[in-house]
Amino acid sequence: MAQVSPWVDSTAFLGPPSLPPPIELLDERYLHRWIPSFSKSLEIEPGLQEEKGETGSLVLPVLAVLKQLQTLGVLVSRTDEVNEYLLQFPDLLDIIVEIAEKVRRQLFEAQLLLDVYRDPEVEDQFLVINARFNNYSDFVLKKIKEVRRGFHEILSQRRGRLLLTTDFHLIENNEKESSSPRKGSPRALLLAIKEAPHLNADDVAELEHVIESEKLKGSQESGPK
Amino acid sequence: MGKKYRNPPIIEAICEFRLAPDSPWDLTIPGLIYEKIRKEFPHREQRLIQEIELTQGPQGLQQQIRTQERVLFFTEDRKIFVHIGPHLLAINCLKPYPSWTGFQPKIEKAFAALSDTVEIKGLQRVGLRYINKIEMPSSQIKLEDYFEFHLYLGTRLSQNVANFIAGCDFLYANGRDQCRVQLKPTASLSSERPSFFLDIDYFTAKPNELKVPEAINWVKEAHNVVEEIFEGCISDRLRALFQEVREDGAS
Repeated sequence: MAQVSPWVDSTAFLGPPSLPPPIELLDERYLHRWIPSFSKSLEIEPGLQEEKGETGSLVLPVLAVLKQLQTLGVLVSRTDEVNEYLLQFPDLLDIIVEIAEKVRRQLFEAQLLLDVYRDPEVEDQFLVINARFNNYSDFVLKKIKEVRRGFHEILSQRRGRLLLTTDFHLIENNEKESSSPRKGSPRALLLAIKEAPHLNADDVAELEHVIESEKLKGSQESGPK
Repeated sequence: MGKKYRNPPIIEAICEFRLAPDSPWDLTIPGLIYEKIRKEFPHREQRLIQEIELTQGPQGLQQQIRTQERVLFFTEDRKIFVHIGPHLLAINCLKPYPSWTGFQPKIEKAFAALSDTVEIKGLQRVGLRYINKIEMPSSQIKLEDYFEFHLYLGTRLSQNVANFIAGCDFLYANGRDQCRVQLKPTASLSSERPSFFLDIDYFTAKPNELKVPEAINWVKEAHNVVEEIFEGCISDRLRALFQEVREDGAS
């Protein structure tokens, strides 16, 4: 008999459609929504057999993706505009978290901000991930370009557009309490990685190792000369 | 007649009709429906939706991702749209919600276009759902001051809550219909201005019991219940935040 709980936070795992949640996290309503024949293939408690999922929302999956991005430490400015853009171009929903994870991994020292760029002259708009750093060097700009190339192909197949760039602002320190890590700091990054839903234990261990060695390198470079 | 608010918290309202699988369906149907509603919904878009299919195999559950084509017809301002997929018609309304008198005619129009185009053999499921996002004025709030639908935590339990879901399925029409009500935080409860989803989903719980000619009346009844539940879930403090508009125009 399948044990199903009707009270599962659907926004917590109703993420990108191409990244299905682990089977153990699926509840019966979710299964019915995505899999109309589910009740035929798995024994369900009789009282719940008549349920047929939930009335499909288009807004909740967008909000779930924004929540996942925030868990990765991506700051979302002007949430309503970003929300609206993703509703208009939902073909970004199944790749944006994956892209943000890659950017986070490769530009681990950056603070990432998701926003909508509008060009009023040509009525054009697209999503931007602005990577902010404490120091801007040629290396940083090259690195941004290199990371951007990594997802150029997958984005070229979508109607929605997303650009990784920088606005050359310094990392904003939103630290309110000394106990909470500064956004974009290695400690904040470590916390974000540990909470990232799509990383396995090996990925986490590898990233922790990379961050620790970068921290060590940084402290050696800034030490007495 | 329900209350009207200057700042309604509705972020999405959805009315969805799922047809019985034996109703005829083919790829020409969206185009035929479009011809009947293009005046109200002039913008047309096609989207690919990915669905996950699980099958029980000898080695346990197998996941398979299937791509399905959906067609969307938008109003001029793109805030209301008809969403058509195999055996499915939904009308979604984004914020700002135009009030029931603005939403209901769109539902009627779309359903009439569907009924004129397809021989609907039965209604597998019909749902009317309202998703509200309610922002609190500050972080120092007691939920019970704003909601009359919330979790009760006894005195022996920790009152330091990181996250929660309060939910209830109410029965209506002798069990033919149900209304699922859920209250949950949208993000961390420790944020400066916590906000909550109040999600009210009224639906037919028994396939094919609702007759096709009764569908539109059912939607009106469902709306009355949803409105009643919404008012039952909130307190006067929230009503004050939403700013009720009285019939004489005062707030």
